[in-house]
Amino acid sequence: MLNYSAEKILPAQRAGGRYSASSILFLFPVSVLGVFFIFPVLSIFRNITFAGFIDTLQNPYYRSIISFTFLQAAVSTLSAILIGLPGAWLMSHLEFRGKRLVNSLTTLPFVLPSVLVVLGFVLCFGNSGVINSLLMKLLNTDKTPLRILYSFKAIIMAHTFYNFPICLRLVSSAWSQSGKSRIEAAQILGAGPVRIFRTVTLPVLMPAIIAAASLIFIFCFMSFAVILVLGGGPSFSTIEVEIYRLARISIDLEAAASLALAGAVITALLTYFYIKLQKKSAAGFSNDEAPIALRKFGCLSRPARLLMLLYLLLISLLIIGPLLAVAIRSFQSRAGWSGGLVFSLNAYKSAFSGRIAGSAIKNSLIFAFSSVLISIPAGIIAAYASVRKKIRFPEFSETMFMLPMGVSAVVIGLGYYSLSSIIPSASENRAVLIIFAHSVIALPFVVRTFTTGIQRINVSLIEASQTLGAGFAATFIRIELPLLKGSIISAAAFAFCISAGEINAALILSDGAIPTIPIAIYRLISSYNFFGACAMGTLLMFICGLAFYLIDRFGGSDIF
Amino acid sequence: MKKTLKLSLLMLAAALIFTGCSKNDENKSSADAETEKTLVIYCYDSFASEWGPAGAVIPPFEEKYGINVELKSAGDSGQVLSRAILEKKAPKADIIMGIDNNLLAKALKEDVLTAYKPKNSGMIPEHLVFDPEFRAIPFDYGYFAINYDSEKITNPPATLEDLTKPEYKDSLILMDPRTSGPGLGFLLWTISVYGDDFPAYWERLAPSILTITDGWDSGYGLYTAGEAPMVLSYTTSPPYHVEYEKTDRYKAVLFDEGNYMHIEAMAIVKDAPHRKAAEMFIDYMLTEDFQSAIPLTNFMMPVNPEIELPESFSYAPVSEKPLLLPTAEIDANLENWLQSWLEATTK
Amino acid sequence: MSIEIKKIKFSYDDFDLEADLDIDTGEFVSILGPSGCGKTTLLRIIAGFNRPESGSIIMNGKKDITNQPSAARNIGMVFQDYALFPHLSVSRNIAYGLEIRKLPARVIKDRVLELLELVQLKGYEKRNIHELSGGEKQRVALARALAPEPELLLFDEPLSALDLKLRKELRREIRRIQKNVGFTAIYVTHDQEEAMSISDRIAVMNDGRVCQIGSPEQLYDEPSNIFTAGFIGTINRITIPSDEAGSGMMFRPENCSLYEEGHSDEGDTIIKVKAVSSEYRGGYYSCEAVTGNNEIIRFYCGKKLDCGLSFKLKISRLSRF
Repeated sequence: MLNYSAEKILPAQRAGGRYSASSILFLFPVSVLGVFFIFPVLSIFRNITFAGFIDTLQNPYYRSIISFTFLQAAVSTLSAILIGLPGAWLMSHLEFRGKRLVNSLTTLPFVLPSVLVVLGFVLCFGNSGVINSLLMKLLNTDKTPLRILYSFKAIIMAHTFYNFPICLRLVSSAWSQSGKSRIEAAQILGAGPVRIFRTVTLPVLMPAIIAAASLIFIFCFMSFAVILVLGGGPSFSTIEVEIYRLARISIDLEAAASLALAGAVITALLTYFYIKLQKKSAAGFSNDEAPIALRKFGCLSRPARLLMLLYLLLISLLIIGPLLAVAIRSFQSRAGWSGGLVFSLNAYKSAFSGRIAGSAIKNSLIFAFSSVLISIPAGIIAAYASVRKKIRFPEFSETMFMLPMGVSAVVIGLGYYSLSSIIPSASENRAVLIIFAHSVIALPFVVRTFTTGIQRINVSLIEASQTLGAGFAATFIRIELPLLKGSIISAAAFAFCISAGEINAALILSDGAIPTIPIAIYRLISSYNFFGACAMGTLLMFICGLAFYLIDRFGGSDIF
Repeated sequence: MKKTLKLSLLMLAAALIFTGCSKNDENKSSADAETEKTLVIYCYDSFASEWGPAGAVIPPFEEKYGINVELKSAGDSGQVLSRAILEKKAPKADIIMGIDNNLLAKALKEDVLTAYKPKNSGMIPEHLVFDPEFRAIPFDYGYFAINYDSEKITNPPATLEDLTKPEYKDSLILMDPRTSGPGLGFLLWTISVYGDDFPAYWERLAPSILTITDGWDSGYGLYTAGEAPMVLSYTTSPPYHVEYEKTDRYKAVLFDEGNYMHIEAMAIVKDAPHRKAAEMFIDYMLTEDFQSAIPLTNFMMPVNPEIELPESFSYAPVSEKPLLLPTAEIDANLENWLQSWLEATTK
Repeated sequence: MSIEIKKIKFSYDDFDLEADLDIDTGEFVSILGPSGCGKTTLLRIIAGFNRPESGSIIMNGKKDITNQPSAARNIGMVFQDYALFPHLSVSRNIAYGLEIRKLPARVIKDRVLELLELVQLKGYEKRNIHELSGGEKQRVALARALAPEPELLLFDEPLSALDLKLRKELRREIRRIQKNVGFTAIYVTHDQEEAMSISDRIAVMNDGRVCQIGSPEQLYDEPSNIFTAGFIGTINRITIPSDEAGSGMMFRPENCSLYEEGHSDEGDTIIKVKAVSSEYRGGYYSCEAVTGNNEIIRFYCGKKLDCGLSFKLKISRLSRF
């Protein structure tokens, strides 16, 4: 009731004199997207014939695969959101020791190559995994007590593990700014906690929840290794599996492109729908109310404390379990002719003795930091242009920026060959290509994060700044940027992780000549050295964990 | 938005002009005699890796012939071929590596290869020459084999049929033939043994399968992590554990019906920019310098029978009954086979 | 600063606004109207947030600011939701406009202290915005708007989020400061009492048009149209059959009283009515009665009138509409 809705300012912004200036700025993210995503993808999509595309859509086998892809993505999304919400509350309402650490840990699943994620999962929850081995000893039995993996629920569980941090991050930053006076007002009016959540809190969180859900959905829609391995076989096949088969085993590039296009169209439509929905629920609330006071853990009532502890235990098991399993593996090696496992640093010795390790670490760090530096400004501009309606079709633009996630990685990989073939092969050029490609891959996360962040900024703050004499740039730097601090930190964490864990673009665009940590992991595995791969993976987690910890720590105080 | 669109189009145009320029540059330079001193090889990634054969075999070649080798690792062998197909109109690679019996048909259909019979081709055992016209020239081979953990399995299976026994319930990790080379190899193995009855075999096999993974990587990783005692891999896998982990815990078994072969070949690309250098490399590929590096870097058997194998390779059994389906038959039936396989495994 | 709003046109969806308005230097003008009448849109056009389709805004009789960005207009604004920058302290909020103008730190500091004193918030410099009450926030917002010494200050329903007592206190404060400082003010409100008490002149708006501009007294006593009359204060509308035109007439409640024989002046109208209700309002009764034509009349009376009682009313200032 106190706020201007976005519509009110619409006519002014369209007619405004800054139109051309903002469209020049908007060119930056658009051209990055164009050159490093649209061009390579179109170079593959142009192989599609209309008849072939229609054939693909009419094939009942593909249809059943598409519907399963849909189903598992929807269930996974729901599960990740439900698991993420209590965490979002925890992070936004409570002060407890190790909070920063938890915050840093949550994004780590993103950095590990999927082979190691799967391995970690199996080491932890598998039939011979840590949990089952403990239970077997405890129950004194030889039978596997908990058959968790190789089923539909294992897919959902792994997807939840992978994705609930997205919900946790996006929603907790919205929640911490949701304003306590609104809640207090509702309390005075006699609303119970459930009612308050439903009628007061949920509407405020909705845009962030929808944003998180759209990212998670697409992520699960495109999932591949997790589904095949943990699902237990071909009964659970997704579109991506079929695209992989067509592109790499059957070498039928047209059919692969057709199927990828079908997937992309579906995700684009869904994204568009999500964005519309989000716009609707984002109208009219501000972030200039008093932030929620952080409470100490001890202030909670006993059952609440118990519940929270239980939740923390669950998510630590879910997140830290697989990651820890990989880390522990890295400190083991085979001993004796019987091949038993003992503690050893051999894996580190073998992984790091070669030439590749040093340059892989250096390259990964350079790529990750550079991708942050490119994707953050590009993402802010793209999000800004669509939220503030500086462009004609904001929803269309937002959908386009989400698509790098929605087009099959296999097909994008093929597209990179076209991109790679037009750029002279000097290694500096290659590095730049990879950095931009990583930035584009991170853009969906970055744009989404900033979209919800910018929507939360009360428009009258900007108008107030303007009436006080501040121009567009001054207002942006002095008012909007500081208010976006939380979004910048989250977006940076996502961009960093995505780049650090990316392998497709790094391998193809460099012709394999610029090693990164994930490439080193991949190569160690193909030469049978799984322990070395775990060592490399552990190092990657450590580097990224440290980076986020530092960003959180220094970003938490005033950096502007 | 209109302005933005215009400007974006301008950018794209600029990019295309840039593309054209760089292409011209290359054409110009290819006329130079200097370029005969270059050789472009697209290889699968593990070949180029620090732990793969490249480090041992490429520098000696460069030194000996004064040719600069540009080794481009284009992902897995399927991606290597895809890339060559995408560049068909203006080939950039001279040699593509990793063509096998299954990929050959696709490569021939797309007409991206050219024949070259190496000078020393006579020493390749005949059963390894899967393309008599020498468009694909083998450089190493191995047999697919069920590997097992001898700490957990004391009574290993001796036939494909044995795998269906109840004692092996949930004990086997396989790979998906839709996404993995070894996975496809195993499917073809069952087809060469059971013929048209293979779907029935897969139905019998189902209880023994713990999971079917996307690729060899995750499958073998799960196996060595102890999740299942049997996995589909190669006869040449145990030597790794002997050589680097000093254990013979992991063993490969030969089956009475025979073991399906995996033969890796190189091929010269049609209209290769550096044809002569490519031929030199193919000849070199069969010499001892190259072949002797294969066992411990690629964990495959060299095609040159005169190479003395390292001691650890005594743990790699050699099949008396190698199986291999003809390329043409695979090409004609693969889609149907995969469909029947899917129906059998998702039942 | 004087400001002339000439033939401004603006439309959005199915709403269209057309307005003319002249405001003199140092004048305090309110724009009053029901929600949706376009008053806030008009204010936002003056502030530069909305660009009109045609017409112009002239400052001080010569400078056309119609197409200037709001940052260049030197117009201050106080917002309904305060719009204080949540990441800045009280003093940094007030200093904002001065920092933008790159004034020396010393000057800014003095000016902030001076303004804090003006809005009676001495000692609040270091406070966080979240620690302030609603009233305090609006005082800070006022100080912030005043800091760059704008010649024109716009108020967009600044008090509507506050409680009644605070509202009365703050509007007196705003008027005091405006008189002290001497800026021109345009004040948007939907509260007629607020508009009456604070303004030199009031512009009444309805459905995208300015209906009437005048002093509070003028608008009350001589409304030029039925909307103004109805929106400002209460009116009674009756038709008098004996009247030659036979048309409707109107009058204010305070302009009618119980008729006592012999106590009527020339021009008074006397009508017969029947009492419907009377409510005690402390010192007087607010009554309703019904005429022979079934028209309801509201008026004030010193005594309670029993329901159904027939009596005569004397109307002293009856006007045609």
